[in-house]
Amino acid sequence: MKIDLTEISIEQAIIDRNIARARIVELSCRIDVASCELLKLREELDLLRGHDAQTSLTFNSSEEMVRLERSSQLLSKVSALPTGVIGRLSDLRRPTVIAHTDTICGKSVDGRRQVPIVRADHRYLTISGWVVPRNHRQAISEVVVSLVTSDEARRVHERTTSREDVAKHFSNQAFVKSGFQCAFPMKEITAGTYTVELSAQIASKIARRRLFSVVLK
Amino acid sequence: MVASQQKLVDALKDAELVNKKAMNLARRLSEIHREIAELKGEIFRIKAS
Repeated sequence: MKIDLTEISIEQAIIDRNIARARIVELSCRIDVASCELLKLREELDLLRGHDAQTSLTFNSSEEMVRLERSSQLLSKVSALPTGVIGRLSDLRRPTVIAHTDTICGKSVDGRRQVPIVRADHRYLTISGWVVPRNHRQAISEVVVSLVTSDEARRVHERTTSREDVAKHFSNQAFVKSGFQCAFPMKEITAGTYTVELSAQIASKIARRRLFSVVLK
Repeated sequence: MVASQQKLVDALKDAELVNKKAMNLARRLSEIHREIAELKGEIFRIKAS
């Protein structure tokens, strides 16, 4: 009886390759989760160290986000994944959110991408709105609103506020605590154009969303 | 070289490439875990002081 060893070797090589591919997916998922944990720890450390360290944290976070994007790109290149693995992957990817800004300094944003504000007219730059996770049933536990320019970032950690109307709209009682309200003291902000960014924590993951620009005169 | 042998060589090369990628990712994960441990240590030190 003759046995073709080449065929057996090919089969084994393909099995080895598939195992390595699955390993890549598994490792990529773990890297995503670990990166999220790293971000949270950096933010916690930033809070403990005080306001001065916040600028450097922003840059670190941006670098980390770029690395996360690269990780996601790598994941998309891996083909022929077992369906079970793909299912777990979608659970671990960075979540996205649906966010809406109701008012800024008490005035409606009305979908504008750039909002002018006169500093002298207000003691605080107040922003209110709501945010819910997209494709997630879990509620958002914490919201961080940031004013970002090219060389500095100011952050306000906000607990979520009650929004029965949002929960009713999405038919999900988990979204009751989906509102946010924050206030930046005007005396601490110089004139200029700021991008308002929102970070929302969903379970152990952090979603980010750029809302609009505010021009302080 | 017969076609089946060429196929084997290609499959082995492919497996080696994917293995190399997996090793790089494992190294990267290890670096992240090390950084996490350092940050946790730093946070603990600040909280304790």
